[in-house]
Amino acid sequence: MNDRLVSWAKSHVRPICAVTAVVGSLVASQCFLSAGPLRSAAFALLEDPLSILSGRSPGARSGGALAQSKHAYQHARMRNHGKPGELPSERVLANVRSRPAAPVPETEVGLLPALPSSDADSFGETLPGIPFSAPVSRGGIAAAGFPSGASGAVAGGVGVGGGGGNMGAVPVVASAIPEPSSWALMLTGYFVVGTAYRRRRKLHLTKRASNDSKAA
Amino acid sequence: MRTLLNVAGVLAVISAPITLVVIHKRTVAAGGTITPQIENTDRIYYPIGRYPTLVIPDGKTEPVKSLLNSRRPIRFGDYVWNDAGVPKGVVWVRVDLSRQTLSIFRDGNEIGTTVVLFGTDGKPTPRGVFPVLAKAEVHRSSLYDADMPFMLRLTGDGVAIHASRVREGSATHGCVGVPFEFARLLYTQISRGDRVVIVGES
Repeated sequence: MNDRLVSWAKSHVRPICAVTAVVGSLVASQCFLSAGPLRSAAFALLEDPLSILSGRSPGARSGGALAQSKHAYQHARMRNHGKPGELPSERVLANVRSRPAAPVPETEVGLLPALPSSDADSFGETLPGIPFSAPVSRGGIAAAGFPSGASGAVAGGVGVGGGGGNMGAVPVVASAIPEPSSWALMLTGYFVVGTAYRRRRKLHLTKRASNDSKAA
Repeated sequence: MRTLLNVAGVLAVISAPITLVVIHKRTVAAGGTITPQIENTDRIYYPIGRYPTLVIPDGKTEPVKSLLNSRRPIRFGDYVWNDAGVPKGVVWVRVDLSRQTLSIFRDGNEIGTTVVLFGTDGKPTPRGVFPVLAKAEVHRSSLYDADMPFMLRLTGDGVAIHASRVREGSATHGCVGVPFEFARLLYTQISRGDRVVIVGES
């Protein structure tokens, strides 16, 4: 080992190595120290971030991109008009909560409130514009839907406004689970049926007993 | 003379690597981040101290230290993600509606980008600066009765960033839709309170 070191030290290659190493290290450090200005010159060629972002963007959204249509419909439109029909328009689906209410069936008799007390003449004077052909039952079935205290004018106004229907609100959906009042009604019904059955059976038995005693 | 040369040679051989390491460390410390490397094809670095900035709607600016080197248009449903060598730091998200892209920055370095879906003209996505209000890995929208995985809530009235089926021609009801895998990665990076900046022509 020592011999080898000595031989290396004595050889003429060693000074050359040393000089090369010194020069190399100097050059390397210079490169690193001057990295800033050198690099900035190279970086000056780089674009601003926004142009790079633009480069990877698929572009702005086109107006017609939102109007998706099934191919069948598109074909039908083409066939009918011979050319692409009217420009597709954007469709925004409503969210679940604001879904429009189910159409309320409008029947004249059911929706037009008949007046509980006043006669037909005064009604005609208050609302002359309404074609009033439905038979008015005075205080009859049609009036039963209204609270008894409603005055004629107010009742007429409400009736014109849509019959107090479920306009624009959440549609009434029947729940699978009955409400307490329904339960109560159902149980009452069972009680009534049961009581009637029991009474009838008792009656029947007593009748039979009396018949038997008569026969005996 | 020989002895002198001898000593100089040995010193040079020893000191050269040490000098290099020291200078490298200094560069890193000065920038506080990774050393700029032009050669790295995955990333476009900007020179230390001369960072370009991105303007934010609230009037502030954010420096950009580096961007992902992705220049070709990204397809709908695809994304680019590379956070190798990017140190921990402040995370913010930039959603560009007019470019239909989203970029997430960590410590000023872009680590991910993708194409997004956003609200229609009828139900537009709001513009502005929104801190993330809430996170949920599994979320089902009560408003739309739909799954919205990896949700990052931005506003109190339901606008969020969440996973969507990102395809051309689709839009949202105001949310920002990102591809599923990207949403997962985004979710891991963002914590509550991180800012999401939504810019674009109104």
